[in-house]
Amino acid sequence: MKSSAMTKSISTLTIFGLGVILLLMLFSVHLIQGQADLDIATVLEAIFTPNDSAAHNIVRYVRLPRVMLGVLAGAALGLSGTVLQTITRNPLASPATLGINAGAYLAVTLAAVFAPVLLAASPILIALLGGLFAAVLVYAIAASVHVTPLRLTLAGVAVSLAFSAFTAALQLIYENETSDLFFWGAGSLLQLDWSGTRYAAPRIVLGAVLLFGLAKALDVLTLGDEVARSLGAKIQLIRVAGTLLAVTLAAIVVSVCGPIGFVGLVAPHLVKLMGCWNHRLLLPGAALWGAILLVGADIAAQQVTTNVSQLPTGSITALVGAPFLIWLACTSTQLGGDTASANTLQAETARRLPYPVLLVGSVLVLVAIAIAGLLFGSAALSLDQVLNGLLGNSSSLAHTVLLNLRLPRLLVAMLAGATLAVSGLLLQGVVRNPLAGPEIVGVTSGAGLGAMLVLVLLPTASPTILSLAASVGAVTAFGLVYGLSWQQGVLPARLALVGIAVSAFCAAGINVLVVFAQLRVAQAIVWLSGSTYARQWDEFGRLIGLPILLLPIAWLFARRLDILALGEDVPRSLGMPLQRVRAGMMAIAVLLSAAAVAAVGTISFVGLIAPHAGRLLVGHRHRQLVPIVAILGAILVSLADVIGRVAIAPKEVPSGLVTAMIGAPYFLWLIFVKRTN
Amino acid sequence: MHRFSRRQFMATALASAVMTSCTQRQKSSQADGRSAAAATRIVALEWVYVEDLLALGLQPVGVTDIQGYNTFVDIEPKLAATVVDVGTRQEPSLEAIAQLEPDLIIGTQLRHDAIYDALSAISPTLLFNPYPDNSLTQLDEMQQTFRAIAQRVERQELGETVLRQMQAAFKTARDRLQLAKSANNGFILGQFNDATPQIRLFTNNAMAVQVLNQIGLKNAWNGQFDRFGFNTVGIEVLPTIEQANFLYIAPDHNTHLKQLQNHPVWQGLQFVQENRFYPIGADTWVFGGPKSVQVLVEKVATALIKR
Repeated sequence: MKSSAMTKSISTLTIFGLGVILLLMLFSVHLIQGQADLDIATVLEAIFTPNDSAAHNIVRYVRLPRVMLGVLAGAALGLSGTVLQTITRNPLASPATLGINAGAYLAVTLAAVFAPVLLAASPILIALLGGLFAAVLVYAIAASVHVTPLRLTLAGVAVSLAFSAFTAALQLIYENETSDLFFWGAGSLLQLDWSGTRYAAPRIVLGAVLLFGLAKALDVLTLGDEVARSLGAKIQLIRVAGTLLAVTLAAIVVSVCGPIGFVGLVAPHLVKLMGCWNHRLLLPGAALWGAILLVGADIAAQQVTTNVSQLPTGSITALVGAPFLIWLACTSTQLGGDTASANTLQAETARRLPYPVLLVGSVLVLVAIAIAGLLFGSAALSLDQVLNGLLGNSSSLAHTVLLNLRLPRLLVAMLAGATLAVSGLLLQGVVRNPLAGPEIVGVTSGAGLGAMLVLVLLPTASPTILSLAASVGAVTAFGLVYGLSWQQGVLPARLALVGIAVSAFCAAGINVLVVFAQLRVAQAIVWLSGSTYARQWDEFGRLIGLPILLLPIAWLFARRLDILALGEDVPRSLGMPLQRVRAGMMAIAVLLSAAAVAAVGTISFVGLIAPHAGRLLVGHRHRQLVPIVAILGAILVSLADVIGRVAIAPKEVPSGLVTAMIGAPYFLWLIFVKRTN
Repeated sequence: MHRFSRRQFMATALASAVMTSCTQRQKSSQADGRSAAAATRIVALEWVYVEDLLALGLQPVGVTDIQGYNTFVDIEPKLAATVVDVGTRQEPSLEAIAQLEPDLIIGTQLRHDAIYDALSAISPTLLFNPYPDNSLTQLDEMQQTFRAIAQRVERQELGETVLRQMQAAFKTARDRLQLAKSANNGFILGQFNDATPQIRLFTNNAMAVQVLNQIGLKNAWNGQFDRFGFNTVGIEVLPTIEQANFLYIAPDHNTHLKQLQNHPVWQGLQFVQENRFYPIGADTWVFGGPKSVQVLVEKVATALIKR
């Protein structure tokens, strides 16, 4: 008893003593660094005996507001993450993983476009509504079977992806209305004066005080519903109040410095690691360490400032936080049992049409889109011209537009769509989770990082080298995911989680490289933003190699996925080398999506929703699924290509945004339909 | 999860892309030999070449982001209403360009190198590099490119006249400034934009700075060398250059500028207290051609003399 009390006081001392010293140190470093050269004496004078000199004003009105905001926002995120982790009983919960940040940011962007008066009146309320909406949505999705940490996280990532795509599209279309949000969208603490900090401070402090009041109740929650109820706790009330406060705190942060990830995830864990689980200490501890993390990240971000742009603080928190998430995924024993049950959202397919009819039908739809794609575009061609252009007369305008501009783009879109879709199908089959997709297991952003690295190191690289680098990046990222999640075999749940972390890490890496690359980025933009813009015949030639080989192989081996779907034991009892089959299938999937990403960049949602739609149509037999899913993927991306070309012609909407805008609502609807069934 | 946001990437990327050049691959800056006749149906993918053509008395048939051109570039003659918009500068619509059946396309290596093949399949294509390596200054490159375009449209004489007018404008502005005996304590040239609360300060290799040198002004900003000619700085650096005259370009109703003007650091600056900060208009295009340069020196001279 005595010794445990002693450990307790030692851990309290570490958390708060060490924490306060560290925060003070970082606080000072933060104040000293900046574009104006000021020494520590000046900084101290400015704080304690200020006069009206420029140096003092810089410290007091430029640097202090920024570092104070860092402390406040970091504390708010730490608190928010702690409460969310307790309430959802999920070690992976945080404002970012539950989609709250993305929801709040989307709401703020929507308001900036459609109701600027409302936004000016109360940015927090707007952000809060968006954040709450996202949190409820994520929870509802995850609750469709039963809530496990993994489900919640995957649902959160999927919802974040969807919301971010909408935000990006809004900002593209309403460029003028949203230009003020442009800079801030990446999560930045840059402040021009005290206004932002002064706005956030009382609200965050109030939220924190209210949460401290809940500390005891939160402790009771950790005992489990049964015990808590028997102790007379009003569980639902505590949950609702806690969630509201947590989301509000996150919303305040989003409305002042944009979405910043990982602080809310990491801070509570640091404190728990130092041995503190009691909320009366955990809450202030997480606030303190959240502040340390964010101020530290902001110091690092300021170091990487270059001539042209500043690194968003959010990128640094992701670089630090992602490895932490990996570690968490690897050590946590209770990720939630996606191992026991096959839960690739068992669609009770009311199959109304026979398979051949469906197959022919979807091919016809694809052909119809192809024809529409040839007919429409910013150059208006009559049917007559189209026929003439197709049939010959090779010097005509129609010939150029159709055969050299529209057709290659369409074909690249179709092939890339089919490839991504089948890749997603295979991944979902292996991971046995309907939310796995190339964008979630690290493949997509790995490819992006590979390409960016080459662009920075070898600016003169040819497109062939670039796509090679993308493939290497994809394979490496996935290899990393696979290797890190290997513990006597690969647990699908762990794989998905590590995938998310590696994706986030690669994405942050891309951001850092973008800042360093500065100039060469222009040529990468078109490619990285997920676009079929200006794709030519040689891109089609480069793309076709792998898919033409691997798609039939995927079809040939598809039956193994049917067996994999039955869980761990059945395949084993059938004598199937489980790990080898998984590895083989994943290798095919990764190579496929690497090929697609190399050609069209990071087009998301195709690998996620095409397999779903396929299962809805034809059920669960993978032999039948592969062709249908390939065609559906082709339909989705070629449709996105046509819409992107025509919608606001002569401007282009990147296909990746269009697929997300079509895909995201469909995806959410799908999951809700499943749930109500 | 702090996932890679496309917008975030685009934000940083576009910010750098706007003024940057990337190309190491030297795409021919000389006329593509395919068509010898003077070009008449020209598509210009970057505003500086739109301006060059207008100065040479030619309306292009297609231009990118016409709304943006009209916002940022203010020269005579104006763009005709019949000119077709062919999309954004970064991703111009190849179809829209093809439909105009141009006999020449002009773009920059920075933005259009990646689609050079597609463009030159439509018509002969010239890509220039406004951010040359040390061998050439930006101001010289601007004139060299202007001459190359004049030659390509066979209006060399008019081209020389325009350049002489520019030189004359330099002299007039220099004389006006000398006559007014405006205090010459150096200048800094800043540009605000809506996307970030920071300021771009132009460095000595920037064309705009070289132009202002021509009228006898000296740049007080000694920033780190940057190929594209500007540094992005926060308000912190302003006290180090507070003796200079602050010339700035800001969009109308720029919120960051408004915020800045209430800032204690700003209010303490010497050039603010002595009222030596001069807006030179939102539509002064510092990345333009001879006509924009002329507008720049006239606006700067007028601004400095007024006080």
